[in-house]
Amino acid sequence: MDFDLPILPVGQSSFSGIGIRLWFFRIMRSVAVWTGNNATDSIPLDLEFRQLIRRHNSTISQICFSYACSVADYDDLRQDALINIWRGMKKFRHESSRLTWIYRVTVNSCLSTIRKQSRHQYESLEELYGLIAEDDGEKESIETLHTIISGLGLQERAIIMMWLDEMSYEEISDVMGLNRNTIATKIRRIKEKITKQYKEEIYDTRQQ
Amino acid sequence: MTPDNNNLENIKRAWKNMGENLGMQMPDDNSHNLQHKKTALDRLRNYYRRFLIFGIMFAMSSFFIFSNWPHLSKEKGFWLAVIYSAYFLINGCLDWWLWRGISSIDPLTMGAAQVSEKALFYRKRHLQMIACMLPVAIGVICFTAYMFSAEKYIIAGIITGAIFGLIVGANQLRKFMANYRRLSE
Repeated sequence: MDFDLPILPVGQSSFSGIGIRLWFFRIMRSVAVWTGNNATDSIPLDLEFRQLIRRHNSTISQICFSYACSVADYDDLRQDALINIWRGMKKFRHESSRLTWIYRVTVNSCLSTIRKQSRHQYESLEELYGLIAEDDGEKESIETLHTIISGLGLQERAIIMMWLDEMSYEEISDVMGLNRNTIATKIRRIKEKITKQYKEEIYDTRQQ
Repeated sequence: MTPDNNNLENIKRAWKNMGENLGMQMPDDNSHNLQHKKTALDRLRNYYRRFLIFGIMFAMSSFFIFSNWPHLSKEKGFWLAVIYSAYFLINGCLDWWLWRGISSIDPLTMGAAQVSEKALFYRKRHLQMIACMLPVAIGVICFTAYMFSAEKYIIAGIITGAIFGLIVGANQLRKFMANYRRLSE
């Protein structure tokens, strides 16, 4: 496992948020053993899920943000990803690392349904960028990045996001279900594409 | 560092900043809220299953409806029932095929390339099937109008419905073409 359930530090009061939950779990587990009821099996899974989401929150959000074209879209994609991660928690067999698994489930959640383009796309995108940046300079760089990534195909977006997150070619190949050489070729082509588009975006910005 | 490498480094930096900004938002990590919710894929699957059931139900009820239609000859009633049953059964089969296909997509275990290809494939087939069944639907409506040619109120209803349907249909066709073009890119 690449993370542990929280352990109460020596000398610290047990009345912390996670401490209370752990004590609650212990009491419930004792009741379950006494009554023969297995309903509390999901409690540790719930804690595990929360830790997992908090640890990988930025990864999940970034992937969903890159596939979204409005705030509503972003919320829907995020919710779908969390539902699938929750469902997959019990089935996860540690064949890959947690990060690779999170990436695969989140990307698949975004890819599994084709989103319709919003009628008021410009306003929707402005609202989306405003979600994470108040400063105009930051908004501009996020807008540039989002425009570049949105210009790629659905699979290309997933590949370049993993490359930007400095995942290895083997990990990217595992998530995409393609062989390593194909991934290397695609990454080379995508890098050429995004470099060219970045230059055009910067040129357009300077012209304005 | 070459200009291209510079640009890639700038893109990486912007990506990291985006990640930091998004990471500051509080995650909604309550699994109790998620347990009874459905994903977009689940809703799509249910949509096709629902229309499969409707198709079968309408196909079966067509015989009952047209055989008991007042002032309609038995022969006309029979042919109307056959045409409508065939139409709804064909639609039901197409929905069944799409339901099976969408159900085969497993976001937890499949590779992302496979999920993407399957989703695109079935979305395209959905749009192509609409394109094929639309002229068939128009043919069925014309056949119904022909069979009820003596009933002026039914003809008036068919004409009103056809005008309304054309207006809605033209708008839907425009969206359909835009969607199809986007999928083909």
